[in-house]
Amino acid sequence: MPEQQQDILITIIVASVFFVLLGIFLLVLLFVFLRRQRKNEKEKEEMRNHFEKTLLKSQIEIQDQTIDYVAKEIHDNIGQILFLAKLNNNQITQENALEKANLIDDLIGRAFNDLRSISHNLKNNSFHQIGLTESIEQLLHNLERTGKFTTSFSSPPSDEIDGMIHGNDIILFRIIQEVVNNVLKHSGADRIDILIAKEDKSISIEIMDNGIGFNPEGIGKEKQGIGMNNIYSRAKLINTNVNIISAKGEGTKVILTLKTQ
Amino acid sequence: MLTYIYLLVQASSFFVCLYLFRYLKNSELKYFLPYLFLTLLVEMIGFWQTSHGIRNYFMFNVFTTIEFVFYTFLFYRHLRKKIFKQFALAFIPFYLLAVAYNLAFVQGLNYFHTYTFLLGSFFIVVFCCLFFYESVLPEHLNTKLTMQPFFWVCTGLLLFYLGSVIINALFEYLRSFDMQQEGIRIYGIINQSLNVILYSSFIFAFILCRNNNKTYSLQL
Repeated sequence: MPEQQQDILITIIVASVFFVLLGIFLLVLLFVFLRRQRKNEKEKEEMRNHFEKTLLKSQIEIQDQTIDYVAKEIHDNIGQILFLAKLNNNQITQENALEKANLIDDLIGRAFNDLRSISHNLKNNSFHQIGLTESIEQLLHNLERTGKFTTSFSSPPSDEIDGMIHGNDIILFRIIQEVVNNVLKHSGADRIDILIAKEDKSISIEIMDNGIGFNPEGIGKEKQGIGMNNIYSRAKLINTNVNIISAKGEGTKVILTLKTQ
Repeated sequence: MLTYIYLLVQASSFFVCLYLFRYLKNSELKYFLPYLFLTLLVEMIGFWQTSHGIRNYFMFNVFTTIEFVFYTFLFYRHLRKKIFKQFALAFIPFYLLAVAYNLAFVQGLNYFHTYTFLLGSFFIVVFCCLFFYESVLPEHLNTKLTMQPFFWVCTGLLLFYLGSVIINALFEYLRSFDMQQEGIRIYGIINQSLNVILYSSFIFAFILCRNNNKTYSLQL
């Protein structure tokens, strides 16, 4: 058999083996692709579960905060007023009966008003009913009621904002609550301003205080508190960027930027 | 030696199919039973004729045409996307017409229909790719690919038709006078090796079908 023909036969064998190998390679590629896709799906599923868990946790935390607020109001305010009314009642004599009766009437009236206010708050405190902007307003209103803080709030119409952040609003509100909690605990501020601004493809929420401030660079390096961890992990979950601007003695500004598209 | 192994594996695939038919009858693999019977019959006749020096290309031309129609029909039943199904269905009459035209006007009845064989091989590889494409779509991720019997059928077909494309393209050349001895030998080795892979993958698919049936019964 001529050498040339032998070469052709070898080429045929090699080419056939090559094609079979090509098929095997295609199958291996298919498996690798499938494996990666399954892994991605699993990760997505885990993220979804994590999101749902965080959402549920946030709802529970909001409820807990409401209950705390009510308990505090009853204990610190209504309880005190009623106790005062009881004291005055015990001190009634023939001489001061009218004066005490007026005072007790006044105190019971105040307690009644406070109860009505709490009831009103509770009734309207369902986050789903009032949305983000009104919830922030209520949060600031409650702070103002303590007499220790002055607040301001500025936002575009609530229907515009709520429509853009639908689905992420509860988590976003919990982040704002957490930031405000940090202000109350650590900043020593007596003024809190919240500003919501709508941009083309995002919404930014600025929370400013006039407290003692801190060095934001220390957050990543030093031990990070649970509150800050919560803020960052939740922000990541709803695709929100957290930017902290602060300096010692110059207050703090936390900017949350939520991408809406 | 390889011829016997190949015939043995082919016969085994028929007998395994027959033995496990009660598990296959509810799946699309049930069509393999008459097909494998026909394959075995044709191969046995072909083996006998070859050993007696008789050339019978007509029988192989008819059989390989049935073979492509059968595989295309299987793909038609297994592909999920409507457009792919229509494509597979449309290929059957097209292919039959192409073979008829080839045998009548181009290569003739007394030669192996290499052109239409290559055309069929090409489309089977395309159908395999479509099946694999459908398997990686997100909506089908839940079913494990290696647990699907048809995946193994598809794997066997892909390797067989990819591997045999060269020898079938050069079929006439390999059988030419100059190359006759070595050419036939090479053709035989490659073709029979690929057939061993193909029929082994069928056997594996049948066994898997039985195992899946058992699993379902246990789950129920």
